[in-house]
Amino acid sequence: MFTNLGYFFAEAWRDAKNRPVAVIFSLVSITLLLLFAAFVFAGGEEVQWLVGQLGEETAVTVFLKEDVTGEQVAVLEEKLAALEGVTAIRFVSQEEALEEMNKVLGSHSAELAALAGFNPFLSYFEVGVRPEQGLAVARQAENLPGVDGVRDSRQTMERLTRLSTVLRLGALFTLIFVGVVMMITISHIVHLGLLAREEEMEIYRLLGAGPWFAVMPFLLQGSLLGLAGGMLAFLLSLLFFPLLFSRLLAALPFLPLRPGVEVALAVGPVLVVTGLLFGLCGSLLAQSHANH
Amino acid sequence: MIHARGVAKVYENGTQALQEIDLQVAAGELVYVVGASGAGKTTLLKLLLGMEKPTAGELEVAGISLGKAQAEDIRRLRRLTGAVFQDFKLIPGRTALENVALSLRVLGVPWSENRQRSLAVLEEVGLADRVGSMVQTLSWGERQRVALARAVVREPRLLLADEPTGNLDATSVGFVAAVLARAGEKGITRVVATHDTRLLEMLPGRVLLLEGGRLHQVAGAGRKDRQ
Repeated sequence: MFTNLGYFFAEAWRDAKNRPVAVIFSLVSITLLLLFAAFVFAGGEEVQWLVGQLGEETAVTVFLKEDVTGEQVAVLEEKLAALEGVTAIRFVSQEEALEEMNKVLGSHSAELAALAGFNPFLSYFEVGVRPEQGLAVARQAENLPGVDGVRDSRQTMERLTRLSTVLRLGALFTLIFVGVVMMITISHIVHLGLLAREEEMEIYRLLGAGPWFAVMPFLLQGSLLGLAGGMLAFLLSLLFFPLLFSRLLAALPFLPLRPGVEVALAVGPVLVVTGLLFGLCGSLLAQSHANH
Repeated sequence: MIHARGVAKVYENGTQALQEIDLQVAAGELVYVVGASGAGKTTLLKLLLGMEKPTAGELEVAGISLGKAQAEDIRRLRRLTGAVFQDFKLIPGRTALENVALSLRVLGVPWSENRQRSLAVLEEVGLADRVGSMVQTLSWGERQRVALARAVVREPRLLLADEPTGNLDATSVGFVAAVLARAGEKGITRVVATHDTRLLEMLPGRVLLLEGGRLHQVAGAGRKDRQ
């Protein structure tokens, strides 16, 4: 089998050269299908990443009224620390809040600077809580004197986690759907190739070739089509994701999104492996169909 | 090499192609099967190559019983055999060299050795200057010689040839006779279906006559004995 590997590749290439239009159309279809899957998959990956990032942050944020004094802050800190389920507590002053937002905004921080000395942020406590106590801590903190409001990031996280699950499931189904469509596309083109060379394959059999000898070029062709489609989709995602994510970051600067290139690099291997696997499956499908 | 006893072949449409064929061919022997068109020569060769199954009798080729042979047995038999078909069965769009080399590719012979052997055999059949020509551009006679080269390049144990000189001029028949003779020197058993007396004269061998699906042994050209 390995002695003829070069020959099988050459035959796969020869067959593709004999019907370039069909092969190019298949390749474009596969690439677009995988690119579509890449977008859905990237969405799921990104939300999962957000959940991870937000999960590292404080579960409950207790915002303090603007006129709260240092003494009241100290008392509040004691009371919050005494609440059941609180694991950590950190005070963030108005100045620190502004500084943190500046870091989050990065290149957009000029927009904050444009406020010219006005600090729109409240000071707050970041309160680390055990997950099961998050809601109770939030409710009790709300009623403490000097507290302006409470944000329970757990709820946001739960929503994000649900969204992430939905998106990842969606991505999985999309991959399966794309895979099946790819398999049908590749199986069709391989089947046509097998039919066109039926007589040739009969000659192989008369010469004593094994069952794989005749179909190996087509298995390679289908797998390579899938692989090439996966790689092209990967290259296109390297091109498009930075553009898309830079737009998203511009619109939602407070979200800790990853750079588009990083997302494309995370999704790339999935595209390539999916392309290869479903390409091979499509070829095997065509071969079994041809045998019947 | 070949043992046939009471072999018959009836096609699905009821045509009785062969009946009561008893045949013994020893290793290295040259056997000509002659007879009119439709006498069953091609059917006999098809049975020997496992392309058809006998409907009655026992047929064993190279130790493989073809009556109950599985796909793997047939494949094994074909790998031991070189065959020249009446319609050549060459692959169009490929060169003469590629067609001949395919025979060894199937056996997994590395390309460097394959190329060397294929070129040598093409030279032997007088096609040294046509190795790079696409087979569809070759004349019928040249195609026939490519088909013969493809059969012998693998140095098979059994060589089956169906009308290998049907389209050839006297010089080319000489090439074929020489190739068959060299195959004999290598101990290759040869069964040749032909009605070309030039070949029989150039390279004597045992002659069998197929008539109405029955096989008769001919002791010499023009003399016929019941087997």
